[in-house]
Amino acid sequence: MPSADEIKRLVGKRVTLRLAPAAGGPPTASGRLVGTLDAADGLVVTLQPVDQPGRRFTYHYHHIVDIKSEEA
Amino acid sequence: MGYANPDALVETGWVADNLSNPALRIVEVDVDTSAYDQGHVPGAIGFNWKSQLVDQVRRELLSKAQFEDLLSRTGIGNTHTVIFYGDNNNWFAAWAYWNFKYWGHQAAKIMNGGRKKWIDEGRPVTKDAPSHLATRYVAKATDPSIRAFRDQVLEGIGRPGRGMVDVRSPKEYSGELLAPENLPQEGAQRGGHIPTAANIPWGMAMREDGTFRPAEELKALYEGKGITPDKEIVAYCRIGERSSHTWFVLRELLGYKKVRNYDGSWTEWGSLVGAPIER
Repeated sequence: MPSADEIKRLVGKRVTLRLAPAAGGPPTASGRLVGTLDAADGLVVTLQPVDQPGRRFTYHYHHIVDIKSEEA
Repeated sequence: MGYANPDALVETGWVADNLSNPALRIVEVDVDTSAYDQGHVPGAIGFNWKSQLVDQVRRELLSKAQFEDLLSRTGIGNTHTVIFYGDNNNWFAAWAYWNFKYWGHQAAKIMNGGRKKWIDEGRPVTKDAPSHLATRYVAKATDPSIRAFRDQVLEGIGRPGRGMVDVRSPKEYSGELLAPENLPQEGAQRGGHIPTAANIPWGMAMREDGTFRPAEELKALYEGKGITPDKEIVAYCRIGERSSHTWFVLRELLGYKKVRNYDGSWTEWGSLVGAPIER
């Protein structure tokens, strides 16, 4: 699981998240990492899918197995 | 699609424009009970959830007399509209809102974005506590339709037409943690979750700036995991404050008619002898 700091460093970039099965839905999610929300029980990550620019999805970072930047 | 009850929310700008409105009382309730003293919205009353909003002997909400006494002493009257806000994206503000609704105070709202957004926007703060004139507050009968007790939760497991949502973090839901990762790991004898509960962490309902997501996105989030408005829904967390937050989303923003907050939550369920648990 990436740390909260590792995730925050990628805000604004296009990323791919590899998700734990417990997250439900597809095993990966790609899009622009719009921002993060800090809370006492962990980070929440907001992603804007590339192919659905009007939509946003949120993921708790406990469900993120890996995060990779898609930008050079 | 808009929020079912848009009057349940106010924006920080609206609050800033209404700081002197005599029809309002602004109330801050925080996880960090020292936050209020470090600076708060001018005119805001500070409630300490640990020492003022719960019975100090039994594990129970305030009694009618205690609730009336607190509000009367702090200058909140029956006709005031109460605006709640707090730290941690309004965890305990939502819990206080739910408490007020439980005691029949209908004129209540939450400030979208909470304490953090107010401060991030550079709005004024003060360390001065207000000195409102005392009132004679009279509470109504409690509203039992918004609160769940353990026997109701147990009886509802697996029954058609019932839904349960565990709003804790995934590691608390799985039993890896007993409490939020940044807090002491205490409060329950066992880890895991109540059978059949869907895990939708409260924060998934939020935008990155701490305000609530649009209604369409919230609808997709909850209905996508089986938490639908046709069911009787119970929300729980560890001590009932994060689940108050989700209760607020389901009831006020999405308009669910039958949603209860199980304020006993995991600290009760995870210590009950013989209670069913899944991991």
